Amino acid sequence: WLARLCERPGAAGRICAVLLSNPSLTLVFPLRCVELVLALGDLHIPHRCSGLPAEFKKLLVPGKIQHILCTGNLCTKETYDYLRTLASDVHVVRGDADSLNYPEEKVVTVGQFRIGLIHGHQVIPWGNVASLALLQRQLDVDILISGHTHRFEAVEHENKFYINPGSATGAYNALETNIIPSFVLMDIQASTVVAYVYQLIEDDVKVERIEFKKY
Amino acid sequence: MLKRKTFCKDLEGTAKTLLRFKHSEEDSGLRASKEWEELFVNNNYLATIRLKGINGQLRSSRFRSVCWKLFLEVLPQDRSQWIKTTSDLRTSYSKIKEIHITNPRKAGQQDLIINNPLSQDEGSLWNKFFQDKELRAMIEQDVTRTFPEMQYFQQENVRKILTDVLFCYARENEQLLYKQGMHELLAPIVFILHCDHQAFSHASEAAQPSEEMKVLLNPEYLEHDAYAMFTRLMKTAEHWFSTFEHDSQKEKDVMITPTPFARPQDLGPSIAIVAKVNQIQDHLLKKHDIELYMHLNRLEIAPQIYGLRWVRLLFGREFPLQDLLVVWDALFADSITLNLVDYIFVAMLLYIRDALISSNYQTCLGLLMHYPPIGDVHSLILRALFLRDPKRNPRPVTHQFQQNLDYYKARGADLMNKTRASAKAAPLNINKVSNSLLNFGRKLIAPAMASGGAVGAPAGGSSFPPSAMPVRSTVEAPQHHHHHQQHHHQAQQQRMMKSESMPVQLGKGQSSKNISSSPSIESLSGGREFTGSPPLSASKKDSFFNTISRSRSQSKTMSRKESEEELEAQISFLQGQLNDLEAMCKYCAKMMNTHLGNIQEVILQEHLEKEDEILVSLAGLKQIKDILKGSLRFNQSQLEAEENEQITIADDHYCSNSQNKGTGDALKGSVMTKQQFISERQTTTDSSTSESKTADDYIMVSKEEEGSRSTVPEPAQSLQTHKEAVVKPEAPSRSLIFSDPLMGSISASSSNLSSSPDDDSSNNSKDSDFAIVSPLDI
Repeated sequence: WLARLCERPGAAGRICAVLLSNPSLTLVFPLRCVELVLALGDLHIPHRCSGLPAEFKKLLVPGKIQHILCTGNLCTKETYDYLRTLASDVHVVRGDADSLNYPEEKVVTVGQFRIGLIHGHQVIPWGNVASLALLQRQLDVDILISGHTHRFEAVEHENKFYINPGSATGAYNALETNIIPSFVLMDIQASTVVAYVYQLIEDDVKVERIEFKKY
Repeated sequence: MLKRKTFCKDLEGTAKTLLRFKHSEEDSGLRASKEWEELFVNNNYLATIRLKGINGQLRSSRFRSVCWKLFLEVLPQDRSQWIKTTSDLRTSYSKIKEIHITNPRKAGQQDLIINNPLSQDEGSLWNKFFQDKELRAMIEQDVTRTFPEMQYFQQENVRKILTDVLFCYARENEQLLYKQGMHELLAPIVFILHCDHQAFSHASEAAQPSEEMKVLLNPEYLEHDAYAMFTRLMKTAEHWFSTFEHDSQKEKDVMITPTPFARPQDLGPSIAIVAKVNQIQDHLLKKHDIELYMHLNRLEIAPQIYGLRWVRLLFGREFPLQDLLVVWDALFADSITLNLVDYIFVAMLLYIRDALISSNYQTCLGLLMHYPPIGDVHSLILRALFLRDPKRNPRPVTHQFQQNLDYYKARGADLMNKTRASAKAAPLNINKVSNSLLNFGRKLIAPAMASGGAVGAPAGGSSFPPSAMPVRSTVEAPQHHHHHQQHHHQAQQQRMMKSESMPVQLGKGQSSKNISSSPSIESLSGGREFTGSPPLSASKKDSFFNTISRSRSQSKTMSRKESEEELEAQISFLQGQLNDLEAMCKYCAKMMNTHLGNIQEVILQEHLEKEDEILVSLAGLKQIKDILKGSLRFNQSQLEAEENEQITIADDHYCSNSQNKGTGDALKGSVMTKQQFISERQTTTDSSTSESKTADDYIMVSKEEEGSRSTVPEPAQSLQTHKEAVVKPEAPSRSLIFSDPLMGSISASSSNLSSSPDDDSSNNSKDSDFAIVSPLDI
């Protein structure tokens, strides 16, 4: 990680480089590099679920996360307000059960990454990587976040990252009723993304870590 | 030749400068090593440098940081151990830094359940990271505000050094953490280290420094050295920052109220620094300067207001940096326990004692919070030493701070808004009482106005403020005067509200100021010469009432006696104002009278079709005139009846009057010049063409009085009533003279063309008793 930083000093990496040049100082964690992005969606509150699971709510405290990307189907304003309390920068796209106020798709730049956001019911077949790749090319993004299938996916395809955070509440789908609640937290550092997947499996929060580097 | 000479000279000059430069470099190196030897190579070097420190001789030293390290016991006394100790300390700091300043991403080995960004687990690095983030933010906030005037502390790397050192210290000392003020202690340490490094690098360009010097003054380890010195310093200064409250009673009984009359510094929980500062003031200052101590106590300036900052920052904000370093030289050289702080504290207070004693709270605050610059800070140190140990130290020359204090007054004013807890409550309460009583009086007076003066007078009496005003007597004379004054007041509704209190206060003025009022009347009567004064007086009165109501609110801060005096002054002034108003009303009434008479004459001569209506309206105008004059009470029909009863008219009285009237000179010859006016009026009426006019007067009277009388005048009746009309002025005048010396004459004059129903009603019953006198006879 150190070597990578030295090779490619990004805006944040430059600070690291300066610090490293001083041999007497030990490595100091560059605080400005921390950008946590929360990806979640398909909550369907209150139509299909009453709210987020308690374990997830305990994890999601304000002050830690900088950005929230929501794939849609919230479905109410109250849920949106709750997300606003967690972070100041909230992006929501319209799902098939949402009101018409949100845009269909969005592109957000965090650090060095361009992240695309779409609900997914527009992409047919639902959840198909090739079809999503079509959209990725259209939007020209490095990471594409989509939902609608209520199933967690993290795929690297043709050097691009496709994330499906699933349903944070475990709401049922048209095709499936047993849904595991899940969401994704991305830690973006320079040209690396570390994705932490939080899943609620039988009342326990399980965490997985996936790393993705941009070349 | 010349050219060559000059050229040679130039060469010489440049050569000399070059040599000088080279020498200076070498010199600096030589001088550095010389100084080093001088300071540290003797046998008793510690005592030497201590002495130098106290005497302020380290100001331009190259090795100040080394001296400080020695003072703070970072370097041991044994010179051979220096290098070893230094490297030990440096490595320990590096370790500390590694422990505390963490990179959560580095630890990949940890269990993911624990070490994920959202984890709140205690062992999670991420959790620690977020906690550190908060602390760092707090420290950074203070660091950015360190020495804003110095460019050195605006540099990013310097700020980072400060933040890291403070952060590590906070993490190493969890019970204290970081407190605001620590940054001010660290900053000068970093600064002198930096200065020494600069000097050293400059010196080492020329001469080769010793190994010792190299190690000690290695700029790479600035942070480590600073950390070592800072921690050592904080060991002493720790308890100044601790907010641990020694009061264990707090838990037991929260309901215990603090002691009454306690000083502000004695209230509240006892924290170490507060206790220290209080002790300095209560013992040290009291011992050395009781006058200043009493003064500060009287002003209730708690020493922690300014003392907290002085002690915690070791006077960091009171002196410019260079002076501060001299003070710290002395402080550290004296002892690691920083014992001299107390005495420097007192010395600082003594320096500005003259200014403090002669200032009020505001200026004192300004002086203490923005300590004035001292020319020679060394004298302060000497003073402090002398205070501590008068026997062994020489008595210094006492300087005093002499300067224009306005600047400090302004600074104090800014601070006062923040620090002043409560205004001086004592006078406030008294004035509150007086104000509330006044308000009470006002409220009583207001309904009293409607119901009657009888209620007003006792109410006015009871509502007097405690400023020893005499209770209003039940004398009818002042009462009537009061009423008549109320008449005038009622002429303007708005003024009423403000003047409600006036009758209350005027009660005092009544008995004493009746005399004063008569001159005003006389001035009034000195011809009908009212130039612009009545209207002016009206406006003055209005504006004055405004100021009265305003000054009422302002007077809360005045003392009780002052308010009494002020009230008395107000009373006399208002009395004059009222008299002016009265004069104005009288004048208006007179003029109205004249003009109404003229109009009436003309109308009656004209014999218009609808002259009845005109005459009715003329009667109304006459009523207004009577109100202005005061003979007619405004909406007070009941009181008119009362007045009538009060007017005890004997039958003889009227007869004698009529006889007097017969002469026609009685009125003329009266003392009151008002009577002259009456006679004048009468002459004008005499000069009127016909009896019918007077009869018409009677018609007016009858109409407005009862509305039942026929419009056709009966000559006999007319004569009678005219006589009544003529007599009327006398009767009421007599009675009123009896009851109201001020108003009697006026009312007498007013009722000439009288339309006052009260007189009519009283006299109507006595028609038969009067001898008929025709106006022409008069």
